[in-house]
Amino acid sequence: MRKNKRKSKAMSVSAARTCQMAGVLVILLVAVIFNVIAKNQVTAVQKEIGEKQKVLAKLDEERIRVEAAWEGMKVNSSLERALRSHGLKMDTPGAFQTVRMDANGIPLKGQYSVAKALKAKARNVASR
Amino acid sequence: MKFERLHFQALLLIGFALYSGQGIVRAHLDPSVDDIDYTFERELKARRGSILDRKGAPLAMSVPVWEYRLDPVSLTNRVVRPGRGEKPREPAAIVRTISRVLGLDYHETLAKAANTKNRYQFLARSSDSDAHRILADSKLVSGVAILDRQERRYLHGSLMSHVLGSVNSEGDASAGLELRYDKFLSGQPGRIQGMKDAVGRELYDKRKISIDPIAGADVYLTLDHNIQSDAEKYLKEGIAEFGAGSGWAVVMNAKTGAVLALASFPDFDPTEFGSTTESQQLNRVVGMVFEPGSVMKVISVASAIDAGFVKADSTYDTDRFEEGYFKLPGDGSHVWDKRMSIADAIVHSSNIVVGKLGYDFGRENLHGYMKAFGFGARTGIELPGEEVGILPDWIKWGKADMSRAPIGQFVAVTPIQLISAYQAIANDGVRMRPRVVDRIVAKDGTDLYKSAPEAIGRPISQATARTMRQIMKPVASREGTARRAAIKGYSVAGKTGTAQKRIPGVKGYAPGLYRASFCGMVPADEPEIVVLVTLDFDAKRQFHQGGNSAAVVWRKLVEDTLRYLMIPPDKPEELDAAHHNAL
Repeated sequence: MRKNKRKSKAMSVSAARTCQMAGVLVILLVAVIFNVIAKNQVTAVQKEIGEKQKVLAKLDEERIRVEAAWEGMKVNSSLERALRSHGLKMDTPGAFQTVRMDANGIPLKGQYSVAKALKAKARNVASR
Repeated sequence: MKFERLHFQALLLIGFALYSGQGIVRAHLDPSVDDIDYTFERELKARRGSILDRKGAPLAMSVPVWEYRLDPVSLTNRVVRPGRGEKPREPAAIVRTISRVLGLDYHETLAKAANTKNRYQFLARSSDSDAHRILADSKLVSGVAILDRQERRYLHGSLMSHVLGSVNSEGDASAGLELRYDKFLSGQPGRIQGMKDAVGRELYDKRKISIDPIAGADVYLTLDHNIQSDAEKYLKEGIAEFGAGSGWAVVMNAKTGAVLALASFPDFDPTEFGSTTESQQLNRVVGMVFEPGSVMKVISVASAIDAGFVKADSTYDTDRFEEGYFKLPGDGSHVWDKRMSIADAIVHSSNIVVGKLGYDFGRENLHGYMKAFGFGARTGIELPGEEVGILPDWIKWGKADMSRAPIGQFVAVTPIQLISAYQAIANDGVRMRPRVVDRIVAKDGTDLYKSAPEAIGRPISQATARTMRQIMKPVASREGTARRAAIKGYSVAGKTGTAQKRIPGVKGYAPGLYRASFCGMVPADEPEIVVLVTLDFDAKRQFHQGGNSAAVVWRKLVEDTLRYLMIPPDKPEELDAAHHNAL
C-alpha cells in the first residue's frame, strides 16, 4: 500500500500542534486553579487577621479596664479606706518621724529625732 | 490548516469558559455582584487621652465599658434554656440574674421588665468583664442589649475638678482642661469601609478603606495630687470651721510659676457636671474678680520702694485726718498718735500709712507698677475662663481712689493674678507665667507640647524683692497680723487681707461681709513655694480676718506641703530649741 506522504506529514504536524495547544490549555487550567486556591488562602488569611485584630482590640480594651481598676485602687481615698478596714491610718511622716541627712550621712539640724538622740546621749554620759 | 484553526479556537473557548466559570462561581459566593447593597462604613472611635499629675498619676482616663439596656419584649419572647433538655428560665429568674450581676435593685428592674411599651431601657454601665460574660450568655440571659461605650473616669472624684473639667457620656468636653485641650485629648477617629456577607460578617478581602484611629494624647500637669488633696482638705475644713461660704487655695512653685495645687470651693463631681450649679462650676481662682484688700499693700509698697520713692524705714504720720490727704479708712485698733515706718505699715496692715503713701506716690506710677505686676491682664494660665480683673486707667482714678487702690480697694483682681504678683516678689522680682500644664505626650511617646518656665516680666528689682520679703517676715510673728501663720523652723513672708465685700446692685460695701486672705512664701529668704488662701464669707462671722481664719488654713497647708516636698527648715535652731523643750 502506498503511503500518502503529504497527508501523513500534515497529520503529524497537526498532532504536534494539538499537543502544544493541550499543553497551553493545561498550563492555563493550572494557573486558574492556582489562582483560585491562592485567592482562597489569601481570603482565609485576611479573615484570620481580621479576627485576630478583633481579639487584639478586645484584649487591649480589657487591659485598659484592668489598668483603670488598678489605678482606682491606688488613689489615696481607696488606700485610706483599705487601711482603715484594718485599723490603720495613712499619713505623710511627721517632723518627729523623719531624719534628714546631708550627702555624708550626717543628720541635719532642727530635727526632733536628732534632738532626742542627743538628749539620750547626754543622759547616758551624766549617768556614768 | 482549517482543522488546526478549529482546534485553536476550541481551546481558546474552553480557556475562556474556565476563566468565566470561575467568575460565575465566585459571583454566586460574592455578594458584591448581587443587587443588595452589602457595603458598609464604620467609624472607629479614638480612645481619649488621659490627664495625669506631675508624677504621672492618672487623674482622668477613658475606659471602655458596656452599656446594658433592657428590652422587655425580647425578655419575654425569647426562650432561654441553660442546657439541652432543661427547663427554660422564667423571666423573673432572668431579671434576678441581671439585677444581681449589675448590682441593681431587683424590684426596680422587674418593674422595668414589666413595662413592655418602653423598649431598651437603660440599666447600667459597667466595665466588669465577669458581669459582661454572664449578660452576653444567651443560655442564661435574654432581653439585654449591650452597647460598647467609652466612659470618662475621674479617679479621685471631685479632686481638682475645676482644673480637669468634665466630659459627658457623648464625649463632649465641658470645662477645664478637658475643654481647653480637647483637640489633643480626643485623638482622631479611624474608618473602615468594605463589604459584609448576607449574615452581616465583614468580608475582609473586600475592605476598601482601613484607617486606624489615633488615640488622644496624654496631658501631664504641673499639679501634684497629694498637695492638691491637702489643699482641698484644709480649705474645706477651714470653710466649715470659720463659717465661710466659699474659698480658694493655690500653691505655686516660687521659681518656675508652676502651679502645684489649685483648689476652688464649692467644687463639683465631674461625672455630674450637667446637674451642678453655676457657683459650683465657677473656677474662682481664674474666674473670680474681687477687691483684694490689704494683700495689695505689699504691691503698693514694693512699687514705691522700687521707684526709690520711699525706703522701708521711711515714716508716715498715722493721723487719719492729716491735711492734704483724702479721708482714709480707719486702722481699727492700730496706733493713732505716732509716725509709722513703711515696714511697720505692712506688719500692722496700716490703711492710713499705705493709703497716704499711694496718694503721694501718684496714680500714674502706681498704675504702671500694678500693670507690671500683671493686674488688669490675663496671666496666660492654660485654664479656660480666666478673667482680666479691673484696673481702671490711671486717668480715671479720683482722689479717693488714689488712697484706696494702694490698700486693695477700687481695683479688682483674680486670685491667680494675686499669687502671680507675690511669686514675682518670691522670685527676686521676676514674674513667671503661671502654668498648670507640663507637657502633652502622644501615645507613641513623642512630645506634642512641652511647657517650660517662662519669664513674663520683672516688675521690681532683685533688691526690692528681697527688701519686701524682709518687710513681710514679721507679719507671721507675734507683732504681726498673722501670727497664726507662723511655722516652726521656717521663716514666712506674707501678708493678710480682710477685704470688705460688695454686693451686686448695692452701693458701697456690705456690712460685716469679708474676704479673708493670706498670701505668703516659704522659706522667706529663698522661697520655694508661694501659697494663697482666701475664705469668702457670705455672712457675719467672728473670725473673718485674714490673720484669724485664712492664715490658719494657710499654715496647715504649708506645713504639710513643706514636709511633702522635703523642703528643709531655714531656722533649724528654732526646731532644736522646741524639741529640747519638748523632751
